[in-house]
Amino acid sequence: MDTPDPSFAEDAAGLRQAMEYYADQGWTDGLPVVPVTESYLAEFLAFSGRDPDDVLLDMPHLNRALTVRLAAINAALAGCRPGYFPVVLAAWESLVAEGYVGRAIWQSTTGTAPFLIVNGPVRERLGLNSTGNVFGSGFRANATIGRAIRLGAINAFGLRPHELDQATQGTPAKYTACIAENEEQSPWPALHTEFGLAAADSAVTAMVIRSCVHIEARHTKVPEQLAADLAGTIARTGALIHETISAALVLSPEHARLFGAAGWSKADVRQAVYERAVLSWPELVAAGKEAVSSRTRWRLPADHPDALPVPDSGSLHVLTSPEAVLVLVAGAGNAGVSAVVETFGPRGGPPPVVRVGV
Amino acid sequence: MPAVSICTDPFVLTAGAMARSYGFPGFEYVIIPHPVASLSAGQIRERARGLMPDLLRILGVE
Repeated sequence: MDTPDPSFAEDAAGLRQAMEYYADQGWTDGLPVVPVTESYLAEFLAFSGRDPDDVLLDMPHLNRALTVRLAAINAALAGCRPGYFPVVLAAWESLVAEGYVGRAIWQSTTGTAPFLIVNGPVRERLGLNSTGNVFGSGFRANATIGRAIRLGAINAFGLRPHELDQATQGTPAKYTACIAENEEQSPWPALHTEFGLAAADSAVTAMVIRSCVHIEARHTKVPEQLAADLAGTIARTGALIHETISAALVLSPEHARLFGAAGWSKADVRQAVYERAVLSWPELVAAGKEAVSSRTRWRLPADHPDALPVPDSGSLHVLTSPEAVLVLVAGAGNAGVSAVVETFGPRGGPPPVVRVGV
Repeated sequence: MPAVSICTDPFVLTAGAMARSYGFPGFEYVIIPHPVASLSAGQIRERARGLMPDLLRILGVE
């Protein structure tokens, strides 16, 4: 092994000192961050094509706002390459369009995370993973683009745990949650093309999520059985805080192919899952969630003073509508494993698909 | 209009952070035990009665 260059040891010591300083200031998510200088920041801003003082997200109740400059600083801190910044910007724009972050959801005890779905040619250009271990670690673009949002929440808005972030438990997705769609192994049109963009466009769709639950279904070739397995995971009483819920189905290529080979479109999958995601009256009563509040529309028992009258029989479609289910494909084509991502939206309208600029 | 904020004890840290972000680091709250969401109507009334002395003190009622 060669003797290390003495100047490298000095630089490394300086770098460690800077990282310790940033950690002492509370500018991290707990992991080390990359030191940011004016010249490094300029490299990010060069990719934005926007005024650095443009406000991306305003939270008047906190007296704070996120500008393009602050978004760039936090992308650099997160370890993004400057060329990732257009995707980070589109992610912020998508979160704003979705609407929940502006309504203080990041301060909620629920403990949500922003989940980002990337489509289009930018996936390959930046090396975004859409195949094996898609929710896991190992890919710089996925890891740091997702992290750029979290660090923005911490540093621009002061949303630190035990302070303005009141999450009771939070979720591991709060560190980072960014996947790319495996468009190449999907039997259907890509997510962004369902909502008006061209296949040649790149896009980010951001969603506030609570949880990501995996299903094992390696046993079946019957689309109805697979739909029932997915629906069984969606229809759990613990997911119900409000009257009904939404979900994103992140299907592995094997599961998507099973549906596709049976001639099912995405709309068919949505409809089949909606029809099967049902809780019976006794199941709701057993959990004390058979009624909804006249004030908050939160679920509670029928004998609660705020409870609206409920029918004493029948069952509940837990999904708001078939359109409250997003369907996309990600992961390796090696097993019948898929995921139900428990999302806040969409609750009627389309998801916030935002084109990546520059 | 004079007003008093009420929060349950696990939210004291956040309440303090909110007050600081508005430039009122010493802002005083009525602090009551947690939880509230699962209380009955009778228990809620009891809580309300119990917090009145603190609430009137913060309002400056002699």
